[in-house]
Amino acid sequence: MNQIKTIYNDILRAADAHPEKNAIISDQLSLSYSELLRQIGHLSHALARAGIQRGDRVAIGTVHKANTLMSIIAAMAVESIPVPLAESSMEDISKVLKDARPGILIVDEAARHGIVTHQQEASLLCIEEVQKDKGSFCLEPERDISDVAIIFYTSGTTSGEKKGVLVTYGNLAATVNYMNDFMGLQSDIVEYVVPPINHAFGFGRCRAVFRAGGTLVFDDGVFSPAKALVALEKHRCNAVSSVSTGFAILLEHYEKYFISATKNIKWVEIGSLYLEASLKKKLAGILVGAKVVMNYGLTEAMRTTLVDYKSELSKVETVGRPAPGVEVRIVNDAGQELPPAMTGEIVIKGPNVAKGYWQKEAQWQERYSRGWLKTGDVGYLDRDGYVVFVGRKDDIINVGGKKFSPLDIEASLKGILKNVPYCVCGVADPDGLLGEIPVLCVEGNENVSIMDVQRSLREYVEEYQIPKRMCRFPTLPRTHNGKIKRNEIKEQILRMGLL
Amino acid sequence: MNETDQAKKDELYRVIRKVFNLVDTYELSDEMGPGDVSGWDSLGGINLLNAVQDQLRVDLSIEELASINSIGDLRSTLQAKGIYTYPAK
Repeated sequence: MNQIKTIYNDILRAADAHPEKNAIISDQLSLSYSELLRQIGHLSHALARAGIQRGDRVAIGTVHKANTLMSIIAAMAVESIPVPLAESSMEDISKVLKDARPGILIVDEAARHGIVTHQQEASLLCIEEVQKDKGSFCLEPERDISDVAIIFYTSGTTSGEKKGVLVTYGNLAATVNYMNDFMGLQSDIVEYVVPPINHAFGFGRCRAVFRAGGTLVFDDGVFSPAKALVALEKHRCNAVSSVSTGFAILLEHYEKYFISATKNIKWVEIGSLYLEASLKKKLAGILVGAKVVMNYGLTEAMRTTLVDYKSELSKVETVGRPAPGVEVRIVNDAGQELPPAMTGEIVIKGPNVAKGYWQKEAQWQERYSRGWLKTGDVGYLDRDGYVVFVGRKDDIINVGGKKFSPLDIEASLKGILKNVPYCVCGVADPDGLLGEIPVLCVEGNENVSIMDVQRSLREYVEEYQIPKRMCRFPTLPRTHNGKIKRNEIKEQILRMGLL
Repeated sequence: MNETDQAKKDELYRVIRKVFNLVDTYELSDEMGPGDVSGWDSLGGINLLNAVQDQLRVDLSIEELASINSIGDLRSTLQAKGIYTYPAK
């Protein structure tokens, strides 16, 4: 047995040292460390009384971030496995619940009006009713390194099938250790956490802040840049985390306020999504005195690479170097390792690689071999060992043998299609000549002319990279994180004969 | 609610429907907000508030923008500044 401490230990330690210090500040509720500990105790007691045992799954469908976080920790405290629900449709929630077969589903009052309570798969436990309970319960908070700590369901951007990623206590411990070392977090951290807690990135930020003994600041619901900027000043935040989309919105629409609201910022983490190099430089330029850290990772291998754009500005085109103890290789289709500068699939080995997929061993074996995880992402290593992310393997567009990432074209479209959501996909050439053609997909009925777009793009990209056709969508399908689901769009284009 | 108030309400809904490309029959209520109205996500919210400020020639402060959690909040914020929407045409 290889025992390690958990997030619960971090809260215990902080509650012991600073019981009255704010652990969580949000509109919905604010909790000191001692209050947080008490609430988690009540909730874990209610779970135990409901018969939840070691290894049982506990689904979490709460709306408020603070409730989600407490539910996750309480489920861990009784040795069950939390399954945060990040799905937005009844159909997807049902799929996850049918797959995970939880013993109970935790909701909050805010969720009672939502779709999650309409499901038929699990009995409900409402967190507000639990808090009236006076009981308290918690098992010994040390866990074995290989025990499953949490199941995050992947958003299915590529295959469409939902898979529960088994994240172990070892994965959580390793990543929080090297993240906090890399960022140099201290106990005075007050972090405004933009991402949802029911995803690996947001939950990772909570673990990092609790490990440091700091304070989390949350807003619930759809990300509001104005709310974020007000909260940063109001709560004197010195740290902020968001997926790249959040920073892009803040910089593009509220730059003046962003500069003013972030003058005390010491730590920034940008989630693992593509962010243009120019925006990274801008962030590093505005956030004087801050570490501006970006990671590359996936739920199956969280925080694989790390980079601080403040001190490594010359590496702004990269997503950083492998974290301590993590190895990254680039391989060809035959699985052979490629030298630096050669593009291939990114594969990962290390303490951050998950244990498997919940009850989908065959799918896991397709991706995992002798310690190495195939990511489905394409990239290369530069001469200093930094990883350059090129795109998703499935997204790479192949026009008559010439391959390129849609991200390159989308970056060039930014100055052309203002305020119109769009993406570029490779779709089978209807004329059967080129294999695939790039297709521009735009949202809404804005007055966009493909001919004007093509004319403008010629300044920036090669002729073969210019979208040949355009498709309009009322709404482009996205994940909760705002990632556009290219595969779903491609499928719709083909199924509905839009070309 | 008198007839004039209802007409003013319709005007705000008209702006919202236009910004989010919603059909005229798309049902809106003052209780709806981000996540409830199709297209009202982070970027959609910015587009809506910009459109409202442009069309009604009003500047909203960052604190006022931050306080808007629903269509009703937007209406109250505008009215607190003496800005009334006009009847739909």
